[in-house]
Amino acid sequence: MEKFSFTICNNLGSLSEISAIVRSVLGKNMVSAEAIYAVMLAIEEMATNIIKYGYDDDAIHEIDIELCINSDAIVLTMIDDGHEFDPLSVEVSDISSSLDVRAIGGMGILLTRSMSDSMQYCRKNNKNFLQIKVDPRK
Amino acid sequence: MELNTFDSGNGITGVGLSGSLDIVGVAEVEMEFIQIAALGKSMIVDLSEVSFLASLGMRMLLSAAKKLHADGRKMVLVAPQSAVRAALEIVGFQMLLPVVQTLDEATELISE
Repeated sequence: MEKFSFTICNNLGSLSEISAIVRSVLGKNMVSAEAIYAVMLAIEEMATNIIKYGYDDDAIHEIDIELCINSDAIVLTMIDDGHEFDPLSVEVSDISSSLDVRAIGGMGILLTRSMSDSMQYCRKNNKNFLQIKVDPRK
Repeated sequence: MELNTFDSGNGITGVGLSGSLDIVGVAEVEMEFIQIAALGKSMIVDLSEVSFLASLGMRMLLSAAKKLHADGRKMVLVAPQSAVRAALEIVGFQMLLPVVQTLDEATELISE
């Protein structure tokens, strides 16, 4: 098992730096292209939500990102001290509507849920803990 | 992220996107993409060089497609890589606008 820990600040520049590092770590660990896509997508979508909607103040906040790479599961854990937000509680947008009425939001959570094998959320010590699993062989 | 335009004739604008349409990539091309969609011409969007597409990139495509549709124009997506195609299918893009394999097919669809 390989374990990696990263901390980003609540700005998008910080997120993109870490994304590049995570992509390279996954590429060196025999992870399938599809699984890399799923993990990168989960980080981008979930971290973007935290950065955009998690905080009311202008302070700098840290978001912890942990990545455990096992032969049968990649476990991504994201921990933030933003507003309580359970991405599993969000109703997924209606994707059957026509172009005129189709909402342009809500796709990030739908994508992350669909591409990961499991998602778990809990709120502890005023922090959000989100754990996402992806099969590295898929 | 790069955006190049190419002439597709018949009053169609061709747009080739290349790179990762993540939050950084979208910020780099979004303004230009919106300006092209505002020209009032149908658009062919070549996705063959797009390696990653996140929801912000989809929002950019969808907003432009909605604008074109309201103006009686079309947007056709061309040749997404398999992972990108899978992502598009999860959110139901194929029900909203045509996704085809070649530029010729796209031109034909728009000219119909």
